Amino acid sequence: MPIKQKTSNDTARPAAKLPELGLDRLSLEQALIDVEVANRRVIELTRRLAGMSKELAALRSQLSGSHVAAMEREVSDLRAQLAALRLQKAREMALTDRAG
Amino acid sequence: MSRLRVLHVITAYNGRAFVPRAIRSARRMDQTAAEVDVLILDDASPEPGWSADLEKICAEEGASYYCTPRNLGIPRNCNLGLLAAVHNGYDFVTINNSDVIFPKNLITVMVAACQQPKVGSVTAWSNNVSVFTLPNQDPDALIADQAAVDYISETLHETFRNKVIDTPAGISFCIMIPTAVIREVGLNDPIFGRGYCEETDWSLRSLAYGYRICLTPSAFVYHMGRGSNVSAGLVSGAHTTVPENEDIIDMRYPEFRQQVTTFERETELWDVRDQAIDALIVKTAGEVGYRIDHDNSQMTGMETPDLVHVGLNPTLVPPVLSVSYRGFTQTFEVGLSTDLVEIFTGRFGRAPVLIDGYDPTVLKERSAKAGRSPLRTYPTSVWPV
Repeated sequence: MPIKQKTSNDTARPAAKLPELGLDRLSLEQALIDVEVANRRVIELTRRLAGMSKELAALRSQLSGSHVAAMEREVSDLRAQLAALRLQKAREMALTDRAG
Repeated sequence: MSRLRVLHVITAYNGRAFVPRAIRSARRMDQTAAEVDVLILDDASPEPGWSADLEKICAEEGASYYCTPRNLGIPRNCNLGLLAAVHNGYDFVTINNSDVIFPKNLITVMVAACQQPKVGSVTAWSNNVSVFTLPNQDPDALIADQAAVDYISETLHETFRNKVIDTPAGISFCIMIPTAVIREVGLNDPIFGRGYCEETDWSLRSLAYGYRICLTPSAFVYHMGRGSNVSAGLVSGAHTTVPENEDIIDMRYPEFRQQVTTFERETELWDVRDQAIDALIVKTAGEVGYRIDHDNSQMTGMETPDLVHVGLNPTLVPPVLSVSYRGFTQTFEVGLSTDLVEIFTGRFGRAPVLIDGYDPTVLKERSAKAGRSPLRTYPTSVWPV
């Protein structure tokens, strides 16, 4: 796209009547500042995104770890209950044999 | 003491149909209170040939013109205007839409408002500025006229003088800011991309610096509204804002929506609106005249626009009486037996200049041509008030 710029030669009134506002310079300077601000924001957002990704991974891992530990405790409890049931069954059978 | 200087910035994007009118209007504003330079910031309008034509129009009208090398979006284009004012020693800058007509008294009123204690920005009143609207039934037909805008604004100035109303946020369709405030608060945040909500963010930042955000009811600017933004595809016809920009405001200022709700509920603006419409009607009826129509159900308000229209719509139950000047309307419920001539001769201190002076056939044809019914419905209060 061609860059459009002020062409004071085309104007009907003498350019001297209008104030010289230095808009090309202001526009360029501000565009560079805006780019700088945008870059800083991207860097800051990336840093925050990376930090939050790490935090998310750690929380997932922590959640996963605590979940496994709970399951292990549950299995262990079930095993103990099963052993107790087996023992009780064996005693009942022994008593039955003696009585017979 | 040197004269105060104002840089009056009009941002433009296409708008061949209305930008020249805004420039002419700006160039004829009264400069008694301050010297005014008009600057048009063309945001790389895409319409072929329009930028060159606009530059020519600016030269003919005595306005400065700058076309950005590429489209910046409203916030950054406005920032150019703010920077130009700060770096060139102006005392005030006004940022304006291009789909407007400025009143002659605009700068006088706004400079006076900006000189009140701690005022950081002043928005003008209009027919289409969200919650700060002075409602009008058909602004494009009835008040899109320089003489009408001048008259309305002058009447409001006579009524309210230097009154300002504190508001939750400014609207940059026509806003004046002292350059000293810009130096402190800074520019619009370019995070708002192509625009919308940037002035809300800016004005809330100014509030945090202790500045007041004000509306002046003494200057009235006609505003087509969303003309350039809709044509630019910035908002759709159904939307009045950009949702992602609203999200930024919600995140930065979680209290803001509640503040606006409270303002709408408690503002003195309701009374000021009533006073404004009453002032327009009473002054016009007394000085120019008024007409009475006992059946206005087929009228558009355009029949005699300079007169106040007092009209009864007997097709509604109960019948509705409307008193209107160029679409600024008061409505009342009345009985059919009410003697309108007697009541309004007493109220306006003179007899009507016209009674039932319309041809219903002509009006029906006119409304058929316009493709809409001239009959409008209004909120009503009970007569007499």
